[in-house]
Amino acid sequence: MPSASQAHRGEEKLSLILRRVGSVRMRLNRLALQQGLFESLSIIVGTGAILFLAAFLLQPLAFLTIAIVLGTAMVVGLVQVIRRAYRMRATLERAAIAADQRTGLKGRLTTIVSLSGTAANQGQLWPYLLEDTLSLREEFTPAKVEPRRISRSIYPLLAYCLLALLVAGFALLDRRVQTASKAAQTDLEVDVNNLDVRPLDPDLGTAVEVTGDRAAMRKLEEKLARAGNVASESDSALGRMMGRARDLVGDLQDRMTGHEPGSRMRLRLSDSAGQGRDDDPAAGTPASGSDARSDQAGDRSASRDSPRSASDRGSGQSGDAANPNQPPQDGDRTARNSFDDPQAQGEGDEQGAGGSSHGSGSDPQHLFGQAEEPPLGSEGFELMIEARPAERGPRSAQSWLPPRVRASLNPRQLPDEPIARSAVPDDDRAEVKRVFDR
Amino acid sequence: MSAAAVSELPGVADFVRTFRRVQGEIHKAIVGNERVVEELLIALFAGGHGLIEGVPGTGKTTLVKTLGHALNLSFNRIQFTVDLMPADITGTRVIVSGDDGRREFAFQPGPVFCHLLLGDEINRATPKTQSALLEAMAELQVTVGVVTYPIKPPYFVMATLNPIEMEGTYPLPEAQLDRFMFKVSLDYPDESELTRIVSATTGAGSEAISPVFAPEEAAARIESLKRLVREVMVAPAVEQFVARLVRATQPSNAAFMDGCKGPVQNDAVDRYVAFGSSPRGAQALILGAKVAALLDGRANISLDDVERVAPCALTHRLMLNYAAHSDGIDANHIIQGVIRAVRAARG
Repeated sequence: MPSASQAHRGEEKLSLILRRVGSVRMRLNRLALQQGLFESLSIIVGTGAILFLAAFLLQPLAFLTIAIVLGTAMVVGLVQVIRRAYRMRATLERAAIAADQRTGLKGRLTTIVSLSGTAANQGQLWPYLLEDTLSLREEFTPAKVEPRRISRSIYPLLAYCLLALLVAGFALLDRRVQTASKAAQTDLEVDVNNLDVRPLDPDLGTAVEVTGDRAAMRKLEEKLARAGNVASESDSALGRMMGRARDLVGDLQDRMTGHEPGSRMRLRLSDSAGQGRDDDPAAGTPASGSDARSDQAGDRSASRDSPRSASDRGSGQSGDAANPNQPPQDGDRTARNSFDDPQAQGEGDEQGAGGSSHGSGSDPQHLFGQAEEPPLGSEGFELMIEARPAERGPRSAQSWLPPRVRASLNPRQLPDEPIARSAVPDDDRAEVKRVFDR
Repeated sequence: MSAAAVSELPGVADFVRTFRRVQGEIHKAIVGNERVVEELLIALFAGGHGLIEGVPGTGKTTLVKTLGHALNLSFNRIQFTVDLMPADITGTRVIVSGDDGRREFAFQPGPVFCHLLLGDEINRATPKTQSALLEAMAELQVTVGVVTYPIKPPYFVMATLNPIEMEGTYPLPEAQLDRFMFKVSLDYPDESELTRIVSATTGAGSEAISPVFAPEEAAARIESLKRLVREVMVAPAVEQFVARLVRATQPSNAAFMDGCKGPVQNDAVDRYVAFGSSPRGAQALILGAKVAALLDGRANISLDDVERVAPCALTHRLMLNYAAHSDGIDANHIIQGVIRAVRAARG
């Protein structure tokens, strides 16, 4: 049995070794904490940078999809990282195992740590084990067991921070370009009668804010309704929900990118045909969400940027503040009404200003007389031709001809040669004549 | 290794010195095969028995005889043949005449009563005769009739096997094999070793073997060294590693496993092993690793010590099936795979 002084010395040696192992454990745990922290920050910064970039580059629905996927991946990644960091935390025994493995102590520290509180440390070789391990104490300093003070996972974090800086620079550049284009931007003015409305791809946002007087907006509404009948399949509950989601995500994108709604191109509508009979003081009012929000119009901005127009539409006030300098032209209006608006044809008939466009050839008074100026207006007209590429249409004017192919003759086949003219014997002449006569 | 610490503690230093002296004496007669000799001595100081396999002429018998001389222990040799009977090994009761002329039965001890027993070509005897050694090897006693006779420690059985002459031999039963702590294989010597063998054994004289211990203290010294081996400490993590290793040698589809699978599965074990190691394999691993640790000057065993002794402690405990024989897979190959798998599972 060891004496009291020997036991005391043994206790001192043991505490010395355990303290050293404790400092190793602290360093390992600090590294585990750093790793968890750095990896979590890497995930957050990286995801944020990619989302921010996607807000600039992608359309709302694609951005929404990417945001959902990245958000889910981020949550899963964070959970994994935290779990891994938690599992990496070192107990005293695990620190001893790590020190044994990394310094070649061959299980000395593991044995001491695991047996220090048991009866096994009363054995004959226990003092020897302590003395032997203590003589190697320079081998298991924290710096030798784990030379790194900072976890390697800081490198991915730095890379993601660099990416975030690049994205921020891109955003700054985009903001400057946006400011410059806003300064150079002028409003466009278009006659609603010349406006052709048709369904468009909902994702192709035009970033155009539409304003106009009441008549023009009503006409635009009618055109939208007609176009809406064409694409009424998309006006389902799912379509409305998608539209709302698109609007929300678009708002989010605007907030992320700093795009202001006012920075959109402004399209001012005028109705030259309806100016004389329906003046609207609400000229310049942007199109309401319900008016122009529809996917068929393809104008997302109109739906979000003009909450006022819904009340204005029902005000019933008249006046054309938008185009006071454009006098109504009957000829133009009649021609356009007959071209765009079938209801306007009746008005033209009542006014009797149809000219030679109607009644020609039926009314004898109009059969002869001075030639009139054709009522087509001075603006001219525009023909829209819808064409699609096709290799050969069924009604193609030019029929398809097979390409010429030059083929060689069969070896037994002789080329065509003219038969030499020869004299017909007298006896055969009657027979030959009979055959040709038949 | 801290040499200063070892020198202050005579227990470990004395063990290492004694071990190396015995090893040196053996190598006066045995050329090469250093690792095999060391493994055999590890088994001896761990208190186990050794099975030596080798082709004829590789020095199996010479090795054991030299060991007997070096340790200066009582040494007996049994040449196993097919007509050898159990009583020829254990001893029997014979009729002896007393001084007063009365005749009575008395026990005549067999060659098993010694400290170091050489069982030469043990697989030539019938299983019945082979089994006569079981009690002596495991419990250091022999029961004849109704009387049990103890064998004085230390007691080592070193048996030899000839792997190529299979005709007229009887494979050792699994129970018998399991009693041997280590199985070592003597390799055929290479050219330089063969030259040294020829020059050392064909001259006029040969180098004399010097006993390491005096005859009267040999048994006591060896027993004290065996006790020192038992003092070597084992961390729970190492014990778990050994248990997992032995468990991993068992095929998961074995009937006696009762469907409970171990934490480490190995395809080669499931495919080629009929029966894995017994718990005696785990004991052999720990005890052998303890001696290996002492030889390295440590009072604790490490995983490296376990892996070092694992092939010789487990090879003969794996019963391979026909698929292994047909595919040319040996037990050592499987054990290496098991060690790798357990290491990987440990992380």
